[in-house]
Amino acid sequence: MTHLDSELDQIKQQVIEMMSLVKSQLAKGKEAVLTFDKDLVHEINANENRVNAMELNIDRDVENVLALYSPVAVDLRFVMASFKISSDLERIGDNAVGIAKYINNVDVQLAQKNLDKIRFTEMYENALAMLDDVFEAFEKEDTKLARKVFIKDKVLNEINSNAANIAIELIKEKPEKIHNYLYLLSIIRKLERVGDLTKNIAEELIFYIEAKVLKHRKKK
Amino acid sequence: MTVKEPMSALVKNPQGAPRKNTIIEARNVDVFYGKFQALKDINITMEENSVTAFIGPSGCGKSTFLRCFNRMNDYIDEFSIKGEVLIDNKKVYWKNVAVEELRKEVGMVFQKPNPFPKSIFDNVAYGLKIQGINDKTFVEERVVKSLKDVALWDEVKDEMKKSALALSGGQQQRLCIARTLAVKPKIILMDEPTSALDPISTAKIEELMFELKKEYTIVIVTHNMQQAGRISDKTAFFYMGDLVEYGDTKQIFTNPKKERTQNYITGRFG
Ligand SMILES: Nc1ncnc2c1ncn2[C@@H]1O[C@H](COP(=O)(O)OP(=O)(O)O)[C@@H](O)[C@H]1O
Ligand SMILES: [Mg+2]
Repeated sequence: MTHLDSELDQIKQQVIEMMSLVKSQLAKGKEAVLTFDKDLVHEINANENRVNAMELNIDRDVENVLALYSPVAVDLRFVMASFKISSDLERIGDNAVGIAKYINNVDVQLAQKNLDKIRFTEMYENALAMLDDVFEAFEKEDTKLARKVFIKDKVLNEINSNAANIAIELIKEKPEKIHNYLYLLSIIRKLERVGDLTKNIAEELIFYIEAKVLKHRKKK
Repeated sequence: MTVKEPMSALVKNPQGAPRKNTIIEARNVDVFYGKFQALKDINITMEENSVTAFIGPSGCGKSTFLRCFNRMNDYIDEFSIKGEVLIDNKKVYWKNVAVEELRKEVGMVFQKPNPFPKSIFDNVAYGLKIQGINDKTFVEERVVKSLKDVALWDEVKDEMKKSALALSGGQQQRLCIARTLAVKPKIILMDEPTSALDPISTAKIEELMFELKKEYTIVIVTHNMQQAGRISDKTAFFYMGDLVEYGDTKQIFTNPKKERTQNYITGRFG
């Protein structure tokens, strides 16, 4: 292993560590919503600092590698991808915190049947599965796995676009609970953002692994 | 269509940018030193006013190929070449080529600065003198212009009679480039021109190349990957006598097509 290889490997390990922390943050957000457990909310808030610190560490290491090793070709692509992925992960972490904070604002536990109506669990599970896909894709440098997220993201988008109407129905049934349903809708919106950020990660990965910039491909 | 196109339209591409002319071309070039084949079926074209970098591990044939453009290999007994090398569409190895004329068009700068043990002025004027040019004002003007072009004039203008050997290594190398420029070549070949220089002198020569390509075509052999990245438009990667990959420098250093190129530029050769 060259000196540069060991630096790159260190960045990779840090990104993997950040990925698992962010995934656990998001998974705790789901538990917090389902169980109305405010201790989990505290935990997520407390871990937010760690997520931010990890991003800063990765940024610093990327800066050093660029300055000291002038990486090119696949090494450069890896470093650039890691830099962007850590920023996407940080924002996914922000969304996990945002979801948790809504729980603090909701006054009673959201009824399971309403959560099901808006397809909360299905959406959340898809978002978590997308994260799993990109994480594994990153570890194994496997673009096939990375590409899986594009289909899953369509499910997220569909649930998100129906969510407003369902929230309106719920509000009509129980107008006094309007704020709860608005928070629920906000959580759905945040999950949709998580899906987009995960898709970004998949694109960065594919760029690094295959050097094709999907992002600039024309939307159909 | 009977509308006649003006001549100028013929040399422009559809976007309107002037099309660059090929100035150096190699077709199926094989080079041998005795039985040893140093270059294998090399095909390449280089454009006017561009900088092309030759990279690759030691012994891959970079210098050998560079020296084919001005027949510097002629002095080597066992040297033989097959295929065509063309400069400005003229065959370099055609038997009637006047080699001295060729070398006026295709100048060369070496790794170690090699000024003559003469004054600064005489060094730069040397090429003109051996061409028999004796017009004093003309020679003086050329010398000053060449020294200005290599950004050495301000440093030496008050001591033109001083021995060139008293200059620093970086100044000597710029002097050698000025000596090459003085005879107004079209092409400047540089074989690792900065490998014996400190970083500041290296940076000055790199800046210089950027200026020079407005008027000249430059081909440079370098072992410094970052240098190739900074200064060249095109990069050619050689390995054991083969031209493995040739393309835009940006592409070679971000997304090389061949695994061997990738391994070499990322320092994972083997
Ligand atoms: N004068 C020579 N006689 C015999 N072999 C030579 C001579 N010059 C170079 N070679 C051989 O040709 C190959 C290419 O050399 P060269 O062009 O100097 O490589 P590079 O410039 O890429 O380091 C090497 O294997 C070298 O040993
Ligand atoms: Mg050489």
